[in-house]
Amino acid sequence: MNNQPLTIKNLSKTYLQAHIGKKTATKALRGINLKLENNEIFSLIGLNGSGKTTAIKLILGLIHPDTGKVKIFGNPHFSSSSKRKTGYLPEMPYFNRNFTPIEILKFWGSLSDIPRDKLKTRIQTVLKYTSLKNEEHRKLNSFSRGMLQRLGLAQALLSDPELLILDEPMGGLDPRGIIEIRDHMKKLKEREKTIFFSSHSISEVEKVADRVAVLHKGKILKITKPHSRLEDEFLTIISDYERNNK
Amino acid sequence: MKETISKIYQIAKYTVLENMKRRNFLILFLFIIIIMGSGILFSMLAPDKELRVITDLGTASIELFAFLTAAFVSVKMILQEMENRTVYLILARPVKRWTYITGRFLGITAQTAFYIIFMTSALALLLLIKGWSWDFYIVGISISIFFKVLIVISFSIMFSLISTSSASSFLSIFFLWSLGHFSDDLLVLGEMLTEAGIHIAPLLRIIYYIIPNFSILNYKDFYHVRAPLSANFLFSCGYALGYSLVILLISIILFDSKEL
Amino acid sequence: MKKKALLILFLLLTVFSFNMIDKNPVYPSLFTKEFPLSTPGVFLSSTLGMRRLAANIVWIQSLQYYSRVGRTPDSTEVNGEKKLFPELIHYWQQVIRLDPLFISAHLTGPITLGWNLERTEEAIKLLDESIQTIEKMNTLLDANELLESEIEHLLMVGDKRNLEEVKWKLLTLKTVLIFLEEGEVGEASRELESIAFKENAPEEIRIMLAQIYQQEKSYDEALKMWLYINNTTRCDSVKGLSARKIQKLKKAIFLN
Repeated sequence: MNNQPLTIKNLSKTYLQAHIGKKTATKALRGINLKLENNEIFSLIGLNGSGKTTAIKLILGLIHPDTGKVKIFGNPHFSSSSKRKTGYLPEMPYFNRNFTPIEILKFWGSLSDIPRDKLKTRIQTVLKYTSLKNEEHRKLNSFSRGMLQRLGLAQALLSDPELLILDEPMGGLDPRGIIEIRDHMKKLKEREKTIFFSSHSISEVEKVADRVAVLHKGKILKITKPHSRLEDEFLTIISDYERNNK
Repeated sequence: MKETISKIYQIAKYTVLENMKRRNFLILFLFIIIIMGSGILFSMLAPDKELRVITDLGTASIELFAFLTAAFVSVKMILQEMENRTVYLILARPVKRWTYITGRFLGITAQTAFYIIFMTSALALLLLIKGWSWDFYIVGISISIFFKVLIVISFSIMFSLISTSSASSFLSIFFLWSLGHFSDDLLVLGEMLTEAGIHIAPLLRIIYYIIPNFSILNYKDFYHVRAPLSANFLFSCGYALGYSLVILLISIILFDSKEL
Repeated sequence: MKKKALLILFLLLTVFSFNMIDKNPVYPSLFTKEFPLSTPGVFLSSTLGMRRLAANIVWIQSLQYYSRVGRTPDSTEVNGEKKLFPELIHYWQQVIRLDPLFISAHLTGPITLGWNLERTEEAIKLLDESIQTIEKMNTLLDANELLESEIEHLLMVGDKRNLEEVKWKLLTLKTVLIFLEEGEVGEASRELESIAFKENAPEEIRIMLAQIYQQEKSYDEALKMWLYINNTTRCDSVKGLSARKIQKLKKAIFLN
């Protein structure tokens, strides 16, 4: 139980907003439960605004839950030991364009509790892995979208994490870029990493995930294995939910 | 502890590097143009008081440039990082929120100190060319400007955590800067209003104590009657340091509970 | 833990600041009934903490106002008489109110008004205000010395301006103007001599003394004074004036 990469129990989050005297409450997540197994690729799929990014932010401790618990390898999600074992790639990562990959990775590496004598080697390893070795001294302002995404993946892999959390990793990429990311995810699984990623592209999820959770209006409606008719099933689940909850 | 200090140092170093790469230091060349221009102008308009006028314009410019760059950089940096989610990448790592804020604060402080040293050196060089003989008061003026701007940096960080707009944060800082210089006159205003029958003097006195008092750090206005490094001067610097630490602590508490 | 640290720091700061703030060397407030609030100098000084700079700007404005070169001087009619530069006193008042420690301005303004423009009443009014201001500043500065620290003696370079001496200079100048008004030129020049060669005495005092010597036909003394002015001045126009005066005086001495 304690060795499970990610355990989410009864996680809820409501956003409160005040605007010109009016207060609105938006329930972003409503008591979701989830357990990841070691060495699996798990995907969270849903429409825009379903709560995918909220779930990821809660897992990473960027926002505070109203109720519920999150554990990463048995430790509270906000603890340093959890964070050392986690690598994160946000949706459309931003890097200062005046820096080079080496400079960026040196900075991120220095914050990741990587021993100083091992940092240089790790940087070279991730650059090689993401095919950015030849661009290591090139300024980021000349990088394409796909290259920036690869750099994002490189920084996520710096500390050789056991759990990778990727928020819409295929977002904004061309077909070649999508294939590259998909291949990376499969290779990482072969290296015994556990991957948790969110997406709204069901066709991509089908090709890479071991399990899929359907998230809609803050609730997990179903957890299933991907198959060729996943897209139809997804639409059916959502329309059934809408019909029953009018 | 050692790891935390190392992370603070890395974040501070990255802050300085970021600003250097953005070429924010080019503003220093604008400063040099201004003081050289003033040197030429005032030697024509006021030849017998040239040194005084150049010193006053130079030190006022140093203070204004240091204030503007520090406020602008602090506000923009924090807000931008939250908008483009760079802060997510930092906080997803084993980095505590207070470490991030402290690192950013120290980075901007180091950069500001460098700018002040550079501008003071340029001013001192111009004064020496114009016949001035070295006096330590110029170091005292730079130190007092630095401590003033330290308070501004801490407030800028705090405002950028409260506000979502860089314009409103910057305006708030400017308002605070003015109010901090104006604070002594609040008491006089209170007395005048009391004479007119409006009894808000106690409230003005409370405001006077709460807002930062920049006039005690205005060494550039009374350097010729006060020795640099006098007890009074050192206490003023201690006041500024303590005040900015308190605001930094408030910023840390705000950031701890902030939803990103 | 953080909240406790904040609380302790805040309490320390509060106690510390109450003690500190009231002891700071504060200038007299700009918001008095006499001060014209609309001037840009007030804005610069009170909102941006640049009183000295504001005073310099107004002082340069006063020099520009007073400068006759290439311009018709500003004048007004008072009781059928033409009064040149009627606003000059207000300019000088602004300067000394913005920066009460602008010692040259305290001395130069009354000389310009009392000697150059022969408006003794205005000059004495300005001097009286200057004397009051200097007394106030001296009290404020003395009151703000927390302790005579050894650090001050060890590391300090340059002396604290002695405002008592400035006050005596102003009183002397007032005496000079009164003597001149009553025609006691000899007495006036003796008083002026006591301050003309002091450190930071403005050039105007020396020019005034040189002109008095000339009026009294003490050409040797006048020549010595103009030579001294010529050697020490940084102002081209004063250098030119002193050079011309030296030529004239040499002729006058030769003829005598």
